[in-house]
Amino acid sequence: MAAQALIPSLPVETDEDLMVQLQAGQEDALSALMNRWRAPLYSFLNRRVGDAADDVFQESWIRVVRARDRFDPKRKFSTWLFQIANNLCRDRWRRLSSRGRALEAFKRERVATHVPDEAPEFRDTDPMRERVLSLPEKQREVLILRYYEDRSEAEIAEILGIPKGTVKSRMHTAVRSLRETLAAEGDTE
Amino acid sequence: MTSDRRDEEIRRALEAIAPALDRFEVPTDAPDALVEHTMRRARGPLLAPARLPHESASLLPSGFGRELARLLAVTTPVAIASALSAVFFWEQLPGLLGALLPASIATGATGAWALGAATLASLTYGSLPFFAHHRAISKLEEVPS
Repeated sequence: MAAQALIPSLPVETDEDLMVQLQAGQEDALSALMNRWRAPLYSFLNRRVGDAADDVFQESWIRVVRARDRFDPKRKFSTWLFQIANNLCRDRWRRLSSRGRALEAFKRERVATHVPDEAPEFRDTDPMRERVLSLPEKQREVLILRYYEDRSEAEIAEILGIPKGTVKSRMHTAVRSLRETLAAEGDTE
Repeated sequence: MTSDRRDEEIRRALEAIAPALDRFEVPTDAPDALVEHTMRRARGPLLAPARLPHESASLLPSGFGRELARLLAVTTPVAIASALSAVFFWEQLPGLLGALLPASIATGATGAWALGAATLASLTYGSLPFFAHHRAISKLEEVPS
């Protein structure tokens, strides 16, 4: 106990400190940031773009490195990271042709209802996945950030570049829509 | 609907559907292989100067021209409408004021009004490049894609 008291506690570097180090070209800082944010970012991307999560995950970090000099250390790193990732998700969605989007929807339907061989991790997935992924893009991103990522309305507003009032109204519409769908399907749980 | 009431409604609705939302499960962490591969890919850009692929060596930020065109597209119709109304008032104002004020004051007031309108237009158009620059920079910072 006495020995522990003698060991000075090392100050924990904030994400923003690590970004400053990354701006100076330190690879360890990138590694530390990635270790801190790999899990939340990966689960966010899985909910946002499903199978494309791996690609967007890699691209997000590449963008962080390329745009590192533009990061303002007064800003919150995680908000900036999720902003980059979400913009990549939006870009991807825009690039997909309507045929591609229909194919994606079909694949999601299969994953949710037909227990596919190619996606064993989702074998027991409830059709809830399909319901959330079927929400309009703008509602889906707000719902995922608010409910699953536990982001505040102010952070969501910053990530999406919209006013807080718009965050609220999109959230309201998304939740109401899901509630109505669940009620119509008799899913009372 | 008031903001507080809407917040409360959202909170209650979320609570109600939370069990269903929780069934949307995804992998909880990125695979180690993916993280290692990402680190390997990131080393190249880390050694290179921080720059996005579409950036040019120009002093102006990428997207400046687009932002300027956008601002011009918004302000020009307003400016045209203002100019038309200015012409109308230029024609009518001395007559209207002349009925109420001495001729010299009416002419002075009309001139002051015209000068004010011209100054406002100059300030507006003169500041557009600054606003376009600011917007282009903001977008690069916030949307590095």
